Amino acid sequence: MMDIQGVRPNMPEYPQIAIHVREAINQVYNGTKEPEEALDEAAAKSAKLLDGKTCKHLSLIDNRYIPHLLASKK
Amino acid sequence: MANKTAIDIVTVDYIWLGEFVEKGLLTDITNYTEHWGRSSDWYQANWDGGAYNDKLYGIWTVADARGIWYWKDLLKEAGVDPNLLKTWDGFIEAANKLNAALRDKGIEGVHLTAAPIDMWYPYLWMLEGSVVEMRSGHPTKGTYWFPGYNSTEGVRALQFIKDQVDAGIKPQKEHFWGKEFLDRKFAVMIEALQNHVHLNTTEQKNQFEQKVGFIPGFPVPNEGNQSATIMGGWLLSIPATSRNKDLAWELISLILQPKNTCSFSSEIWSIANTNTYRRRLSLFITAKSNCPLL
Repeated sequence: MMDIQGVRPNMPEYPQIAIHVREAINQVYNGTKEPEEALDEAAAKSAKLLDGKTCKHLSLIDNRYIPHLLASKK
Repeated sequence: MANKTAIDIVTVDYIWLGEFVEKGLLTDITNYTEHWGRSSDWYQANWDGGAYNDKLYGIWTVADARGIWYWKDLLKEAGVDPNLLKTWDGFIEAANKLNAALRDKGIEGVHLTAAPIDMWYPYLWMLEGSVVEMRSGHPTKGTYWFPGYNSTEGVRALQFIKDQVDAGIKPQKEHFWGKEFLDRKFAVMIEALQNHVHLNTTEQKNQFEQKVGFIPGFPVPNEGNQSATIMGGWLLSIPATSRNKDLAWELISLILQPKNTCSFSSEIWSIANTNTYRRRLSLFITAKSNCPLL
């Protein structure tokens, strides 16, 4: 019944990543940034936070969707 | 939990699980569940939501899912076909019509939550984007995780949010989780309404469905696209400091017996029992039990 497309990862860094995304959305709401610029800046912060985090720390829910994640772009 | 609580059972939002485990706050319940033998009763995604580093720290117990709710009379008054709400362009067109017809009466056409991170993910996912993605070739760490949400799909998803704002839909700084819709301050709202709607009889359910319509999922870029929603969820876990872990597990297993889960859900998440949800979006009890209510 359920077709899972994506997940919010339960990695310890996720709550902070969510803050980065929320800031980006706020900037678009406020008209201070366009979507691409806002998301790129947020993702740069998230990348620094993750700092090459290896996969072994993630949950089964993430590992399950590795084929999907590998197929994602960018 | 950081204060070494003596509490024996806690509920944990699954997105916090990794953080809590890394801080040593939760009990590994893998052994309990292996003897329990009920893991196959859960949808795999929900079961996996309680796992971290290949060990289980919680059982996903309740969930919600957002969809499009609308007041049938208000759409009719504005001359809006509910099917318009199903696509991105149609959603904005409907909002414009509703605002033109209803704003003078103090009713906003559609609700848009301020900084709606959870309202943005479904658009990201229906475009096949992801929050994080795996990359290989790190000079010292091999395969690693990297943010993926700023992909082409992410930008497109956020552009739809921007398009709504540009069309005059007002982001709402205050969020009352559906109460504002039920108070008829909005004609349309994407939300899970279970916090505010308690339908205990068939008559109540029928009356509700006569007034309020529901479209499962979120608007899609184009007609025929697969929609998506977002499912929140809460796990039952045992704090690492519990002095009664065996007893705590026994109680969790009792709570999760199908008859008890159904009863619990019907009280707490009664909106899940509306005919619309039952037919189309039975995501509210994550265990695949034969709940008579769903």
